[in-house]
Amino acid sequence: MKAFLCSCGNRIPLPEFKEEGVEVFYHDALCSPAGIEFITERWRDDEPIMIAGCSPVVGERYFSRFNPIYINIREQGSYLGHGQEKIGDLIRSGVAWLKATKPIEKKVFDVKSTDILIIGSGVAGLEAARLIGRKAILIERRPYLGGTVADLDRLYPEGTPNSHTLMPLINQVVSGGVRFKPDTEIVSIQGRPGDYRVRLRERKGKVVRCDECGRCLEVCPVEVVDHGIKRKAIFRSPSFPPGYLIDFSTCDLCGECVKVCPGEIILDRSWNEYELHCGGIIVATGLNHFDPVQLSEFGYGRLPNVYTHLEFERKLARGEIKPEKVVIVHCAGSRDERYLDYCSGICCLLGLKEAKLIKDRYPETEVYLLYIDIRVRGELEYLYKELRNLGVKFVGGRPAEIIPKDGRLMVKVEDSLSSTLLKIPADAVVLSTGFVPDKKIFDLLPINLDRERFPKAYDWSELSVDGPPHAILFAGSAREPMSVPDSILDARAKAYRLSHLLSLPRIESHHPVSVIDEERCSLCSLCIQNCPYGALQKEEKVRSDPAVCMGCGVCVATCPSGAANLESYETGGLMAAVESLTKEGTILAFLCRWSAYPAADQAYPIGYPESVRIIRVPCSGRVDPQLILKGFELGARAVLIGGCYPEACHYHTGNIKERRRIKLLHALDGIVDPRRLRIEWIGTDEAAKFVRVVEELEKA
Amino acid sequence: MSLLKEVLSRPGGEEIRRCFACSTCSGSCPVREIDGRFNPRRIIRMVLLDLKEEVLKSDFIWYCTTCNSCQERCPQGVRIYNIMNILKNIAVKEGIIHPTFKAQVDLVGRMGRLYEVEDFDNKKRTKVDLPEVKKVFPEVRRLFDLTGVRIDE
Amino acid sequence: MSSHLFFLGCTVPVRGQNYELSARKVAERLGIKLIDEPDFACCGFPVRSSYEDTAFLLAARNLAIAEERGGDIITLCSSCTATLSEVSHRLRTDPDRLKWTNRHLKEIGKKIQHPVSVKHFARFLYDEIGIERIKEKVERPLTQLTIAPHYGCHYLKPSHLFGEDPEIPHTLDELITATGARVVEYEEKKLCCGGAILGIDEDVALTMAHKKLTSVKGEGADGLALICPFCAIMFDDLQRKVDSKFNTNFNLPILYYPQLLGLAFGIPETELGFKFNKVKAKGLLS
Repeated sequence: MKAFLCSCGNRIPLPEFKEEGVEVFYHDALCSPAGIEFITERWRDDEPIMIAGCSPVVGERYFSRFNPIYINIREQGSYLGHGQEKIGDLIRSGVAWLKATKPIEKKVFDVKSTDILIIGSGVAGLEAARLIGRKAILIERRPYLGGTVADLDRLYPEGTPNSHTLMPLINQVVSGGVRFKPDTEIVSIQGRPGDYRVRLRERKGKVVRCDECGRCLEVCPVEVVDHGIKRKAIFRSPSFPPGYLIDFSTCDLCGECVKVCPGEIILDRSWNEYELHCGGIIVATGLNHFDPVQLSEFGYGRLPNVYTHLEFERKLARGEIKPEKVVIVHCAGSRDERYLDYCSGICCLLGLKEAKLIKDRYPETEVYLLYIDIRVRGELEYLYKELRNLGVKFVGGRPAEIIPKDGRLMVKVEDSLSSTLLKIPADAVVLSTGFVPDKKIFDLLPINLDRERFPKAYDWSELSVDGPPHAILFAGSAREPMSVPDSILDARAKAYRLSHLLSLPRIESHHPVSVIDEERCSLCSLCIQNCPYGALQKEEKVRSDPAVCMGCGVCVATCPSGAANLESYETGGLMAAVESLTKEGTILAFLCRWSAYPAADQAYPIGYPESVRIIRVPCSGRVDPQLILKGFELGARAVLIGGCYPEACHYHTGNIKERRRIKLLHALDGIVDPRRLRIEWIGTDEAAKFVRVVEELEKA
Repeated sequence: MSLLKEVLSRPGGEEIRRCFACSTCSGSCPVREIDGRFNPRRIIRMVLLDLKEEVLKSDFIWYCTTCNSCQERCPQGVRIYNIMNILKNIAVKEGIIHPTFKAQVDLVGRMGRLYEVEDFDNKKRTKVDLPEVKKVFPEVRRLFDLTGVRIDE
Repeated sequence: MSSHLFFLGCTVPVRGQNYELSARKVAERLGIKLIDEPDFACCGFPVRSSYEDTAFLLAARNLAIAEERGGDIITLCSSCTATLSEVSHRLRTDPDRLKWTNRHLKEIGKKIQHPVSVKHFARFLYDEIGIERIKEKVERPLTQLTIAPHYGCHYLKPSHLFGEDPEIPHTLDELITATGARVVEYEEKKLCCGGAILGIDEDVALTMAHKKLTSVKGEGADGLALICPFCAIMFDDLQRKVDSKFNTNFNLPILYYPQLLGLAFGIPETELGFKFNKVKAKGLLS
């Protein structure tokens, strides 16, 4: 057993430390290349080690491959001016923890397929497919490729027609050996990184041979409105494949087209289901539009001539409208507590774009643009400036209501900047509607995501050491609403990342996961009910799936029989740490690694009592009552659990579960004094709050 | 005490800091449409700037018709209608009350009704087969006393 | 089914006898038993702006009486509806406020355990009787009439209490259509009557009323149907005043909805309190 003590360039006075069975090494800068080398030379693969030095918030990025037990003697010791005794206690607790713990097992995911499934053929999906080439399988729900961009007229910032971007991409994909499947949907996805089994279904019906005579169009009796534009159930492809295509979601199978077609049409709404094997998945499902019908004061769906930006753009491009006066309304649904409490990111750009499209086409048209804040970044500022110069009237306000008046629309809005109430008559109102994530795809993926939000943080979170490796990546607007250039760049990054990951024979990871001791397990299922990820399954026995477990440890705190454990945060290890840190008068603090722990790290400029002893936990929800009770038994003055704010828990509701547990302990008469056991929400940036709380506890 | 803090501490006032001045409320206000000096957005902003004197002494806090259009449409869940009520309540606490509201309080305190019912009214009711109604409710007066509200005769 | 206690409020018994008379008649026809409760006093609304706690207790007192009698509350005045509903909702969802309330109510020998539900008479007709049953009772469809609905504010808002979208209200429209009359849309349909600030700034209040009346008249309506005595004061009692201030001559009959429904039921005008209407609605049917 080895302990590495780092003086951090003499910032930490290291004590002489001796303990039986432990080899102790001293160094001045373990994080330097020489320091890493120093550990490597003395480290056997998978051997458990302890590193004491700076905070793990900093250090774990350097040392993650050694999976050390990490003891912070800088931010919790020397930086605070706390003495050798405390630093010695901290090191001792690390060694005790080390002795009680087992090494984290290596998780190996064999790469059984190097194929990559790309879901969605918008610009992001196309760009990823283009780069991945022969290994890519591109599926598309609709009968043609191109996603949202295929529905648009022009793209900004350049203002070029959509086909200038789309068609070169499609051509390269088609000629580059990508297997692409339009009219295809996902039925289910199962498996793990490197080895996914995907069930797909493909429409049996299609236009098999088309010489683009257009006779089918004349006879088709089914008219539908597709984002503001009327078309038939059979329609001319806006992109690829060329020719005529059938929208089977509206086709009534009357057979008129078949009768007149000189080529071949199969009319069949049913599906062909099959299975596909792949090693990784890129989710490029793009945007879902917020339905503005809910904003009843704006009259969408009820009043004629109130459009979404997409509908308006399409109508304008086809010359279907020529308004003399247009009102563009920003933040329709976004930044609204009732609907989307976030900024949808690109709708300002879209609103400005529609204003530009009108001004280009009909310079005489009067355009009003109603906004709360204009959010365009970087060089796009030019578009905003240009529109001001073009005479677009910018109104600093959100409309109160839109009502019909004298055959037109009337938009009532106060311009907050001039404090003027305006009643703007308009021929058309364009709602710059926000965007919502695709909940349907969330349900199908074998990963856990917040259904109400875009999974923007999901991909880059693989930089942290938590959770299983990711072979399902989000690209483009499926991750968060993005402009076309941003989508393409994002897709490029994801394509390379995933190709690289799958180029290895196996994907290895050392993320700590829950382990169930079969001998002790009473099959009560409490852990299964409390796991936020569905990582625990009961067949004959309860097992934890390392491809799913994120390592929060809530199961451990929940398990009544001590069968559940969390690698590196085993009850034994934590108990050993409690025992070596707690003395008469200690304030024992279990701090969540995501929030309260980093907050405490930053508290040294303020300072806090030396009696505070901190134990880092993956989530406040990991802290089970026996750890708390042990602390009190050993004479702790107080115990603090520090967690994330309720909505900010990294494991859904670990913090809420912990609060419930603490309340129960409070309710037990005579067991603990409620003033001496507290759970507090402490944000990463709330060092001062942490200090306030521990100072209060010191007086408790 | 700071006006903002006091508003924040009362039920209905907690969300006032969410306001991002989008002017949905002022565009919706029927009084503001007639008299621009009354403007809910401006009042909310003034509270956020803690301009206590200016807000409480302004005639315009009494101008809310309680129509609730602002609150229904506010995208940030600011309870503007409740806040207008809170401001009037705070003004009253500080000794500023509009004479019309004072008269209403006194009437309701004395009678338990907004309109005094006289024998004549009950006679008029009986004539058209409507039941007589009570004239005074001493219990209501008691509730005013319990909450420390002084009623002038 | 619990019994329905009839909550008149302050304004209706002295200034809205036509509303009260017609509502009672219509209820009788529809087999709704309304129980008079002489102990109901002010709902609290007029005191809210000055003393919120006192107002809250006034409302709670009425709720306590209803609970004691074992009935729910049916109201005629929309302000009473909103005030009593808000307080009932708060008492149901905020145990601390309930405790506080009971501590005070104890002093007058009252108590709330299960806050009763409160419903406006018009909403009761719509929800509990239903358009179909109302139509069945119509003997004299008012097909020759064009009526503008005025919902007022507190019948609809706060909307989370009433479940009707205040941006596209429909219940009163449908209730009017049930009488056989034609409903007319008008621009200022959602405009408030201004009644709440009549005593603060008469000019502003009358300007609001004028706007409403202009908008309704502009669509050629024969009358305006409403369901709140406050609104009726603004549009009926003060129509003359609006006329003289703005130099208009609206002569627009203002009808309480139950008066309209009573006519459709074939109840004689004399029994529906038409003589109390300030703008004469006589001849509306001829």
